[in-house]
Parts: sequence; structure tokens; C-alpha cells
Amino acid sequence: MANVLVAGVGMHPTGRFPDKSYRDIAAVAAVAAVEDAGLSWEQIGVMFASHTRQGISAGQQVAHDLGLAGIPVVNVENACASGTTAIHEAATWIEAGRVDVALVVGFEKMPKGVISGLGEAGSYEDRMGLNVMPSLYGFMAQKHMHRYGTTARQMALVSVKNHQNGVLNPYAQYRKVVTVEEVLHSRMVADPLTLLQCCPTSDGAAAVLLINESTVSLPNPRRAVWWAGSAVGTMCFDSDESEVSRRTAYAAYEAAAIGPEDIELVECHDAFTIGEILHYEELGLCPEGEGGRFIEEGHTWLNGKVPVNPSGGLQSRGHPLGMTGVAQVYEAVVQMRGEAGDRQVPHWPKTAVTHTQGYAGVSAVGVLHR
Amino acid sequence: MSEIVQDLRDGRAIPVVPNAFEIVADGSVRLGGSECQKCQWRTFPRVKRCLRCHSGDVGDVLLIPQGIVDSFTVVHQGPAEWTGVVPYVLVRVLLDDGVLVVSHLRECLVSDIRIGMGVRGALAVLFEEGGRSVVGPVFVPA
Repeated sequence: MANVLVAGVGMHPTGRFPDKSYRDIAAVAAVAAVEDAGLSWEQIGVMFASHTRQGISAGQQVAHDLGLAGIPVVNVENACASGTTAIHEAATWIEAGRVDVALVVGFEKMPKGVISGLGEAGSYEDRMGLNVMPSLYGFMAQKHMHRYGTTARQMALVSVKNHQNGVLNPYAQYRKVVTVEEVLHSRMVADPLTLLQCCPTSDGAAAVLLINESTVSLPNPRRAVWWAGSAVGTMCFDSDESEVSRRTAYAAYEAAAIGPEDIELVECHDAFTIGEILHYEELGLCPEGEGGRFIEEGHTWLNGKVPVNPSGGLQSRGHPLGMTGVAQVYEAVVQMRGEAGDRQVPHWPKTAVTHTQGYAGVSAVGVLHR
Repeated sequence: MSEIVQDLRDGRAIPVVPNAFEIVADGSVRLGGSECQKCQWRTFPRVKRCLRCHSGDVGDVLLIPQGIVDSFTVVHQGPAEWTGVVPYVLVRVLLDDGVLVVSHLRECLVSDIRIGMGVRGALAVLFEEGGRSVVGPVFVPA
């Protein structure tokens, strides 16, 4: 199988852009990624478009605006895990020898408020008001607090840390420091999760350019990072979101021939603060039940032993659904290159992991190595 | 609950979805679940195929809505159509026969909710729609 490199990355800022269409912001990210790699548009053999709510053939619209006529365009919808899934699929195209260069563009424009319309309209869950994303994480939070003694303060620290990181990220939606007290006293959304423990809805776009390292020459190959392995999973019968994230992560680790002890940086799915604490455990950064203590002891802060969400994560950078998994790879790559500016982690990581998790029990994990 | 039952019989109230619950002879409520005829796996709400053994031979079963709270949350911001109804309490309940059911918890102060507390099924008006009450199966403290 061919070896896959991430040769270029690009972002459009995350936030609210009422005067721009999804096509506008997606094109900005795509152009940035192609220019970052220093390759020509003619080399691109396929484009994967990651989005959830932009309508039919949105990827083809973006490809049209980029002048990418004639190549296959594949739209990928896998809820919040769409971006990671799209990169995973694009990598398989290169590994299989179908193409040498694949462009992945993740984009989304979202309305304000909690995400509704999940599941099947008219179903028991829909009619009973059960399909509320914050409530699903509220269940997880209450259970974790009950079982392991995780505290509201430990969960609030996730928001504090990620907002602190986001202040340093010019692409972040909310570049404002928050305190534990502000987080805990913000409006309640789904007990125990307050507003400042829930990611915003956002507009944004990110792009990455993947290449076959043995057939494509790069003008500056030292800036490229290996896409070492990845996996996509869905929930098993009678399991839960933690099980699918753990299983998917270890499948990606196996593909990349790493173990959790090798991980030096993580971008994970902190849609709600309890999520990040659970993901520490699922990704093998700490034992089960110790996620709350893990952040309290400082291990996942920017200067900790495994910085998590140096971009600001979903909490601060924002969460345009189709963008997120791609933006995570953007962050991992610039950190591994040492190009992350004020938020650069102290030692340029050699191995990084990106992780997204979505509605109906989907998870996707990628491993990058330099 | 007898008033709700009467309203359902008279058409002043409607079930939230068809087949989610039934009222049995003694007036108590049962949940409309499924049971696999091959491996006896049970679930709620109803399914067309067994999620455990993939069999298509799945029959209807009435589940006794009695169990313990596995987890809970209080929804303060829900979907747009629930704006006038929040806050409401959701519970995930492990029924005595092992089935997990998510629904609302009523007749309980938020400060009194505990994981592991016993609950039982009841019927409650969820909201009004087209001049009629919409009734669904909920839990109340046992």
C-alpha cells in the first residue's frame, strides 16, 4: 500500500459570516491548502467534501468554484465525525493507488441554537424531545460524576483550558479567556452542563491535501506529515459512545503501529466538556475514571505532557460540523511543523491523534506522525 | 392518570406516537416493546429486526415500566418546538428486565433525583397540539 502524506493544510476562520456562502469559505480553505503544499491544481485526482447540512452535491458546487472540473467529487456526511471520515476515505483512495493527490475540504454554515432535527421525524425520540445533543452528554456527565466522583469544577477546567488556547488561535471563534466561576455560573443547558461547557454552532472551513509520497514530489518535503493510520467506527449492539471511541482509537493506533504512550498531542471532540474528559480515558491517555483528575493535574494543558486541543477545540475554535475533523488535522500539522505561533506546544510533537465523535454512535480517529 | 386515560378514550388526548404504550386491565401502563423470537432479546421502542442476532422474527411485548435511574439530566434548552416546555427532566432507566428506556421524569424535585433511585411508569401530558393533549409514557418515583 502507498504511504500517505499530509502535504498542505488551510483554514478559513471560524465564526459567523452572514455575508459569505459556504462556497466562499470552503474555497478560501481549499486554496490555502493547495498553496501550502506548493502543488498545482492539475495534480488533484479527487476531492472529498465533508459537510452535513449544506444540501445536495455541495461538494460539487465548491469544486466548480475551484475550477476542479472533471475529477470525482465525493460528499461525506458522518455527523460530527464527517471531516475525519472524509480524510480517512481520501487516504484509502491514495493507498489503493486510485489517485496520487486528494483534496479534502470540510465546511459548514450553521444556524444558531441547539442542533435539532436529529433522528427520524415523528419517531418516539423526536416526539418525546429526547433528541437533544446536550442532554446525551448530560447523561454521560451525571453517570461519570456518580461512578467516579468527577466534579463540576473538573469539567469546567476543560472549557477554561480550551478557551485559553483559543485566545492564541487567530482562526478561533471565541478568543476570550473564561474562569471556572464564569463557566459554572453561565446559563444551564443540560444539567450539569452550562452554556460555557457547550461548543457553539459556527461557520467555518478547513482543507488538507493528501499525497502519495512515492509518486509526488513536494517543493518542501520536510513540512509534510505522515497520515500514519486511521479508522472509522460505529456503536456496537448494547454498547455506548465510550466503547466506540475506544475501539476506533485502538484500530487507528494499530494501523499506525503506535500505542497511546506514543501520543504527544491530541485534538479531540470536546463538543461538551465531559466529552473531553471521557476521551482522555477512551484514547488511553489515562485510566478509566481518572479523566477529571488528569486535567486537574495539568497533563493536557498547552505545557502539559499531552496537550489536548491546543487549537481551542470545539469549545473555543468552534464546531462547524463538516469542518471540525479537518481543522483538527490542520492544527496537528502546524504544531508538528512548529508553525503554531503563540500556541506552539513546547516540543514539536512527533505523533498526534485527532478524534471526532458524532450523533448515532459514530467515531473517527486519525494518527499523524513526522 | 385516570383522567388522562379517559381523555385518550374520548379523543381529547392522543398518544405521542402509536404503540409506545398500552393501558392494561387494571389501569396500569405498559411500554410497547419488541422481543426477538429467536434470542429473546427485548428492547424499546419497537424495532423490525433484532439488533443482537439480526433475526427478522420479532414480536411485540408489553414491558413493565419499573426499574432504576441509570442517568438523568435537566434539559433547559431543547429543540425549538420544546421552547415553551423547558425545563424538563430526562431519565435513562434500566428496567427490571434489563431494557434501557429514555423518557421524562415527573413528580420529583430535581434536588431529589439520584442515580439508582427506583421509578415506575405513568402517563403524562407532554404538550398540546391541535387542541388536544399529547400523552406519553413517563416515569415517576416508585
